[in-house]
Formats: sequence, structure tokens, C-alpha cells
Amino acid sequence: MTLTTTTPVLRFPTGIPGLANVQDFVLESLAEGDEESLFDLLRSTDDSVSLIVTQPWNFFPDYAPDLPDDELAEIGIEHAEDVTMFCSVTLDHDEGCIYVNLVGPFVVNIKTHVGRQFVLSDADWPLRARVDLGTGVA
Amino acid sequence: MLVLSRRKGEAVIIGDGIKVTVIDVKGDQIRLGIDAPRTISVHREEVYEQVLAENAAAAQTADPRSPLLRQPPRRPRTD
Repeated sequence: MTLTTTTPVLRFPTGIPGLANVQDFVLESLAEGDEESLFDLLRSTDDSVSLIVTQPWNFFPDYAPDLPDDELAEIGIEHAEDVTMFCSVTLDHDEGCIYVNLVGPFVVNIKTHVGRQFVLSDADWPLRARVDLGTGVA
Repeated sequence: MLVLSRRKGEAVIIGDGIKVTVIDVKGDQIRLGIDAPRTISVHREEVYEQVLAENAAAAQTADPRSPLLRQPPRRPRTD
């Protein structure tokens, strides 16, 4: 399932660590035709940088990070239903796998489209949660 | 780098709104309490650096046309 059907500008006021000082992004589905995709593209509006992202529960149904209330309040989130979350994906073509970053989830206020990347220092979620892709082993 | 000596219970003030207090000292481990405005992010350095590096790796490999993204997942696992 994709995250959005429209493409509002998502604003990350504090930027995303390691991605220069870019603040404005759009989220684009990677679905093609009738085929749904588990992935979206988080692309900066100036086209300088992009990330493949996915909703973590697509691969890790038990993922339930504890997000600090004060950091949620910083992007105006008071209720759980105000939130959408996605995680970045690193592709490894040699290994035929992807790695989902479960330490640094992106959280966006769906009402204001303001977001930030959380850094979960105290949790035991893996930084590179591996998912093997491809045909063969079921 | 500014170097200050502090004892347990003492603090340093940084700028207008940041206070770092030495809560406890045990051996080579120090517990710090940090009071900072909401707009200031506070992270353990090594975790922050790892996330920063992983963001950069994700950006470098972000090919939306990759065939990997068209394939179904096999058995998920975490490393």
C-alpha cells in the first residue's frame, strides 16, 4: 500500500541529517499502472536528493517505536492519528536485499505536513533491518 | 575546546536555554541531565552518526527504477 495519493510538500524544518540542508520534500508512489508498490520516493522539491522509503510495518509488523512526546509536540502532534511514519531504505543489489532503517523513522504530521526524522537512541531497533527480496525461497 | 571540571550535582549553562547537569558519576560512566528547548535535538553521538551515515547510504542507492523494488519480499529477518 502506498502512503499518499496526493503530493503535498512535506517540510522538515530541521532538515535530514546527512542530506545537506534540504527542508522541502514530496512523497511519490512507486506504483506503476495497476501494480501497487511497497515503496515511495521521498524527493526534495529542488531535486537535489531523494530516498526510497517504506512504511516499516510492510516488513516488520511488530515495529512500535516509543516516540518522545516532546519531540512529537515539536511538529505539532498531539494525537496518534495525526501521524504518518515511514523509514528509509538502502538498496543492496549485490546481496539482493534492502535494509530498512528502524532507528531513524520519519514522522510527519498529516495535518500540517511538517515532519522530522527521529533518532531512537535508547531503543534496540536495528539500524539496518535486512529484507531479502526476489523469487526463489518462499 | 573549552574544558570545565564539574562535580556531581553541578551543571554548565550553554547559551540561553541549555543546562547540562552531572547527575551521577560511577567509575568511567557519567550520567548527564540535559535541559534544552524543544527545538534542540539531543542525541548520543554514535547513534546520531550512524543514522546520518545510513541516510547518506540510502540517498546514494535511491534508484526508483531498481528491479529490487519490484520483487516480493522473502522471509524478513533482522541483523
